[in-house]
Amino acid sequence: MGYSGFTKEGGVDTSSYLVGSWSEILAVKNSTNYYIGNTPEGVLEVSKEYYQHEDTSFPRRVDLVVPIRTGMRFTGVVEEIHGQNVSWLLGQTLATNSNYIYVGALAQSYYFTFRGRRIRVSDGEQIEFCIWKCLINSLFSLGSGDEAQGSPVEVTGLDDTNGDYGGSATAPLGYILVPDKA
Amino acid sequence: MAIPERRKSDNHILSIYKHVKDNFADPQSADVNYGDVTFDASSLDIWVDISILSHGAGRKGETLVQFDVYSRVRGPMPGGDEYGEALSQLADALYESMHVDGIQVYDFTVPASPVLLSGAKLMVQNGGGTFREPESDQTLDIEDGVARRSLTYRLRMVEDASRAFSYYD
Repeated sequence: MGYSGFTKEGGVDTSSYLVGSWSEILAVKNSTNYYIGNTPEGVLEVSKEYYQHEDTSFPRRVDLVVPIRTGMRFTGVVEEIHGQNVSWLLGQTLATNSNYIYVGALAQSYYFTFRGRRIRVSDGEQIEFCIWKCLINSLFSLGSGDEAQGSPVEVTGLDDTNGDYGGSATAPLGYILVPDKA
Repeated sequence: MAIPERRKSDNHILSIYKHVKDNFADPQSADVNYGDVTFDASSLDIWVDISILSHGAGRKGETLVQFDVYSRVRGPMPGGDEYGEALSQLADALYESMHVDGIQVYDFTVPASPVLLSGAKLMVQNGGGTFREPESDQTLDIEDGVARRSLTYRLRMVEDASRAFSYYD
């Protein structure tokens, strides 16, 4: 006699399937929203690394798993190539007012808050993420082709336990908002 | 095992009709034929036919809905529609009514009082994956003095997008 808990074959809550992309992406600095535009191939990652301790039995077995590193990251492609986005992709200000964006000089790190949103089609609810304190850590690369050419972007979250950018001890990196079903 | 209400083609068809009826802001006050095979358009100047071409939604496939917009080029309509303006306006209004992520599915067991089925949506998504856009939008040849434009939409349920080869419920 097998386990009696097997009672729901296949999809359990099919309305929870998520289709589509992160459809709205913005960076926030000093309470101003800067709309980044389309980011095809946008991926939100929450990474974790673990240390696995093994006991002294033979064969040795894992007897302890300890998280030792965690991070938030967003990668994608920025399609809208204008002054604000190029400056930002180069790790500089979002509030650029110059047509020239200089490259190569030593500059202070430019921190910002990063937010994204997508729609759960089954009930129209919005799923969001927020990374409180971020830095750009991608190269800038602009290619050629018949389709809209964008530059890759990688945004990495930093610890904001002290709340400079909205974080806290309970949400030092950021959050993911997944609302109850409507 | 009974098919869940949200996957029944009958509910899908009536939900599509309901969506169009509730959201179609018609600038021409055209007659809309919701799948009535006895519909007689001989005395009409401008009208819309809605047809369901296939029934794949909720069956790991896609439902194709076609809106045929007809306008008499030189009929009894005042001024006629020689340049197809009325035709285009009507097609645009239909396009607007379908410019949504998904169409809510209702349970029409009691047709007069449909019951909203929570979480059941027919996604408006064309073959290229773009939401809210038609699969095709074509102007067809004028026949017997009647111009025709045809919009086709591809609808599928959220569960049809599952990567699993099959699903059960």
